[in-house]
Amino acid sequence: MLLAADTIEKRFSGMEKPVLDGVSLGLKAGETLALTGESGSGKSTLLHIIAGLETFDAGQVTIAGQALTGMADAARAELRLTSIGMIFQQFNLIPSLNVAQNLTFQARLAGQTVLPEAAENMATALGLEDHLSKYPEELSGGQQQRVAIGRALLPKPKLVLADEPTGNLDEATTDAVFSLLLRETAKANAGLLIVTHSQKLAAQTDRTLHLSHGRVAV
Amino acid sequence: MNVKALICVLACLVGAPAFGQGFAGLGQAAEDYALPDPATRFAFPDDHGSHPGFRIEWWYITANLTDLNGTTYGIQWTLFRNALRPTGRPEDQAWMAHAALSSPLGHFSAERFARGGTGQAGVTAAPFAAHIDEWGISGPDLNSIRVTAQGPEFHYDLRLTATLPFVPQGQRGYSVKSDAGQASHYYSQPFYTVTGTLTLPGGPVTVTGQGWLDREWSSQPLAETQTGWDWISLHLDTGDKLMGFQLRDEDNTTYTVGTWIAPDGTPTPLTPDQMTMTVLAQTRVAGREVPTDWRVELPDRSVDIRVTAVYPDSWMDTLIPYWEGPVQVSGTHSGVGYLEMSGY
Amino acid sequence: MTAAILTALLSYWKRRPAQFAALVLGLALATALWSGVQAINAEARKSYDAAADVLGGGGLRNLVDPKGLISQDTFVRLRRGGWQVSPVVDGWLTTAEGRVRILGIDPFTAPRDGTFGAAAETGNLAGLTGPDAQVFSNTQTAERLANTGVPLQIDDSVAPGMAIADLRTASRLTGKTGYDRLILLPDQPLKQTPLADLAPDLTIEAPATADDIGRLTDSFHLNLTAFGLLSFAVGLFIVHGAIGLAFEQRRPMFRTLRALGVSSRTLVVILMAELLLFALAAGALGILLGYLIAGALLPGVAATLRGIYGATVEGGLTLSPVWWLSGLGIAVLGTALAALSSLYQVARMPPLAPAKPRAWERASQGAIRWQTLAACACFTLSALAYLAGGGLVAGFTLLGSFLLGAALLLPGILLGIIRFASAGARTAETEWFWADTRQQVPGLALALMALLLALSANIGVGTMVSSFRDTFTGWLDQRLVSELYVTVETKDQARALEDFVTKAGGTVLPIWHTDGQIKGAPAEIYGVVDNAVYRDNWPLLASLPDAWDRLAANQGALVNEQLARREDLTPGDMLAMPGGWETPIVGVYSDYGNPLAQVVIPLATLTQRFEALDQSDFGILTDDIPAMRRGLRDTVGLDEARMIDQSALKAFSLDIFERTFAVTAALNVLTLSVAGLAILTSLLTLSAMRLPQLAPVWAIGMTRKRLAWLELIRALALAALTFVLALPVGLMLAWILLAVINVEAFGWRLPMSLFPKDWVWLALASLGAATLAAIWPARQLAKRPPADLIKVFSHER
Repeated sequence: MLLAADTIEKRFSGMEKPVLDGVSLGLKAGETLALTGESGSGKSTLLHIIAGLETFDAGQVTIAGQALTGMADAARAELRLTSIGMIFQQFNLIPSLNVAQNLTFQARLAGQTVLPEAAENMATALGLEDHLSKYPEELSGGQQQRVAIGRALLPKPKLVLADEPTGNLDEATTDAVFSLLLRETAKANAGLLIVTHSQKLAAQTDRTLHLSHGRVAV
Repeated sequence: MNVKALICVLACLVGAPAFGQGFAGLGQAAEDYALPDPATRFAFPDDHGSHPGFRIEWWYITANLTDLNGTTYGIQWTLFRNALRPTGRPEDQAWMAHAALSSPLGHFSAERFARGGTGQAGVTAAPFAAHIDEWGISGPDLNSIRVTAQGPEFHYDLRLTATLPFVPQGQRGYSVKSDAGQASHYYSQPFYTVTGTLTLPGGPVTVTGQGWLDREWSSQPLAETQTGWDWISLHLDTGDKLMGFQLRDEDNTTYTVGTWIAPDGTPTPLTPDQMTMTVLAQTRVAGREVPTDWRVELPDRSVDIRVTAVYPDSWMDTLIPYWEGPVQVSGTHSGVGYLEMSGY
Repeated sequence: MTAAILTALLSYWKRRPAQFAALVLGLALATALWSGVQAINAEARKSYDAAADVLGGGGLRNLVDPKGLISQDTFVRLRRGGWQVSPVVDGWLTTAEGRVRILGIDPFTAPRDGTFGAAAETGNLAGLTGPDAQVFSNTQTAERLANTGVPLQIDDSVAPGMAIADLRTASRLTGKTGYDRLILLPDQPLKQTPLADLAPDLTIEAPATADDIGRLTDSFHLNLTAFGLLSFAVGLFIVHGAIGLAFEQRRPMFRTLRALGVSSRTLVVILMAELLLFALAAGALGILLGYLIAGALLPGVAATLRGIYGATVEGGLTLSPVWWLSGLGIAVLGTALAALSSLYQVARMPPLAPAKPRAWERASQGAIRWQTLAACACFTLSALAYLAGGGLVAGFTLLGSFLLGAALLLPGILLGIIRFASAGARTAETEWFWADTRQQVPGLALALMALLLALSANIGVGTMVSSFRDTFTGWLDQRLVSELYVTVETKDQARALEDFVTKAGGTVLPIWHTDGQIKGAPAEIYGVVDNAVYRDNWPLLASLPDAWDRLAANQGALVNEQLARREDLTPGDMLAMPGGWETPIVGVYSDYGNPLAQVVIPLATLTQRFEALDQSDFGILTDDIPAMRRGLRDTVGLDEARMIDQSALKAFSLDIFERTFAVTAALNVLTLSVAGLAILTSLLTLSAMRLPQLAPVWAIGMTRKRLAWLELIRALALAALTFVLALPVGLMLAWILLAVINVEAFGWRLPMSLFPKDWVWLALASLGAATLAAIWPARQLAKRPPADLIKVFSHER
């Protein structure tokens, strides 16, 4: 099992009800899983917990055999850097770096050597070959998300986590970006956990898990 | 007697507030200075010179003048000697002088100060000469003198001559100033005829008229409680001269004395309060109410006259300010004269 | 409604006390330094006026005799010729407690306009004249006269360092036998004998004015003013930062208010009211601080002015309401200036505009290009000012435009360096570090410019002061040739002194001098005897061959550097001396610290040509100073207070020197701390805007702690770069001060020395200041809750 989350509980201070109330899920390498649910159902929080961005109160998360529970901030950052590709709804990119630098940033930060061909291939695959020297603010929303996908995948992560990756895009762009995401993740044989509120997108994944009020709906 | 003289000279004497002890410190104790003596008799020309053993002394001239058009003018010229220390030495003397010219164009005045012993000011008895800076009285003798003075806006150059002898005031020159006995040596020459030239902002004017000299020296001329005085010197058309003054006391009482001088120069001292001076009207000048219209009565000589200032603005804007200017006499007698008022 | 809006706007500050503190503190500091310096200058100016009033007889003209003193006979002759004149004796009395200028007046004839205060009260002639005459001085000066035995009268309206006495008392105290001048009273009578008939030797002299002292001290005050202005500018950077941040962070609130129907005009007016409120409060605080600063610095300033220029200034502050009001005015003006761009943005903001911090940054980058152009213009102006030369104004134009140009150029240069550094970056982290640093430069530009100004001022002034100190001490060592310096009271004492010293095996070097006019300006003329110590020790900057022989043979004169530079004189030129004779210049010597022109001629020539001599000062060469002192005291009857040995004199001179620059040092430190504060507020401003730049890096896998470290290092790197750039700017500044400003202002040029050790300290200080400024925002970042960072990706900002 690439990713195993077991009865995760999370409560934000000042809130009466827990955000996550014993959620469990599992994901295998090469598998795609969609997390759906209403606003406030806790799906994004679960994703952030799995990414090690947020801590949790009870339960167990294991990624490629490493347990997140009790892991220090620095170790979680290291895990994220080397094993996880992270894609958010927007503002994924580093404004001060250009597209080429952003694409290779995580891989290089993780200490990997990125061969120029690898970067070029990725750019071509994402349709970014003409935009490499541009800065993020000069790109459209869809182009920005493609750079984010490329950046997340170049280090060859075992797990890709995407939080509403097309939430800010129009329908046509959504389809293009989403299929790119599926295709490239599959190419890398990474597991993909994707948070979305769109049933249409969820339908394209291997499995769908629906969260409601912090629990998995049956 | 000449009030402003006292005021100013004594102001020089003391750093004490001007009204601390009588008017302008005139009531200060005489300390180690010489005191007036009733037995002293004048000896001329020596007594025209200065008496440095006494604390204060002055040479004082007024003149009532008219030009060819009949316009009235008045001048005064006064030199004060004031001993700073009772040493009698020239360097311990302070000299001060006032000059004024009253005219229809206004009242002009100037003052001068000088340290003794430098030659800047001084008096010699014979041949007579008195000076401070460029101002001066010079004669062969005091009955035949040239008087000059000037300020930024006026100048005068007059010749005064008299034939009658000098007139001792008070008791043969011993003039009592209060019931307490303060006194001075005092003589006058009220019989000058005057000719000369006044220079005014409008140009030079030739004038003629009558003049009056007062010479006085003392060491403590006022009682401590006396705050000021009103003094007149009148040339009556009958040829008689009248000098009189009232000293005002803190308690609003007055001490009035004077001298009646016959046309031949014979003086008759007036007894205290034989003459009365009554204010008829006041003028607002230099921010104060000054009596510029007086009734003077001397019943024993059937005198009941009104003495009126010709130029009520004759204010002496000097270090110690006072009023002094020509007057017109009407009533039982007519004539001209000078009025001096201090302590207002 | 207005009240409701204002309340809503003000509520923001309650939640951000630190930001509020930065705003108020920045404004208060700016106002404080500005108004403090203004207070010092005003106080000094007032003292000059008082002194000039008395010395010049209240702005009246004087009659003087160019050849010397005026006799009493001449005075009386003038008075009797209708001239209203009043004599003045003007001299110095040296006591153990210090020198006092004695002004003797004639209370009988002195102008009666209050110029001389109680000393000319005609109502107190008995107390003012005669053997026990009172001497009038203020409280401090009275202390210096306490042991002279003269009856003292305290009159605090008398100018500091001065005593007013009767003519005769003054003549006795100063040993003068005539009058230095006659004051010509304003009202003269109608008829006067012509002056030429009465006193053909006398000439009418224009009144002395405050400008005469003011001219000498102008450069010093300009110096202070420049510092005040610099601090004010630096303070405004802080205010600009704080206001910019507050406006940026309140954008959502503005948007809501606009959506609710508040017009942009109303919003701007209310924001202006808010700022006015702050400006007045902070301005008042700043004025109080300024008062304290001025009070703390004034004694040092007063000591300096007295030591160098002989200009006396009161140690206490009396401030006019105008000063208070102008302080508030400058605070309001400064706030308006700092808030202008922010207010403009609010006024132009469409009701529903989203926040666009990066657009603002891009605009700033355009501004940097513009700034670089402006810098070039400044340098051109600076070069023109140097080439045009001549005058203090050109000097300060050179200085000011150079500094401004350097500051304007800074962001551009920093960007260049960063671009270069990032090109060499190997790892992703360093690449990102430099890229991100570059992006931060526009936001930090103002603060860094402030730092650059503060640092280069520090280096420049420090180099000037140290160079001056080096030169000055070396020069003092050479110049103070005698072991002992004495001042005698009478001619008999002078004779006894010569007898005794010669018998005791020492050498007497008379230091006699007179004051006169050379080329229309006041000058000192000294006479020296021919002695080897002069030849061996006096450094000559330029000279004819055998200059000392020529001087000894009465074939010429030495002039000081000030005179030579001012009148463009070189050895060989002829010099017109007072009294209508000429002599060739045989040499030029350095004469630091003296604002006046000085000429040295043989002693014999001095005594022969000039009547009014100060013959009371002597230098003594001896091997045994204590024995000589004892002998002078016991045999000649000299007071201990009238002898000072070389080392004490040296210590005294150096003490004045150090105090002079203590003021500069204090202002230096203040300016640097203000620059540090500017960095802090800028970083705080940026830290809020920087989350979008940091969050992705964090999400990818860099810890907050690491990010915070990088932030701190970035601030240090920028400070270090700024310091490195400030070094050449500072040295250039020092050169301008030494070679241009000093020459124009004082008339001497100093060699420039470098003091690298000082730079190390300053570098550490600036890095320390940057660390202090950066550590707080960095800590904030390290402890920021992850939720804040996650919000970046999902929220509309």
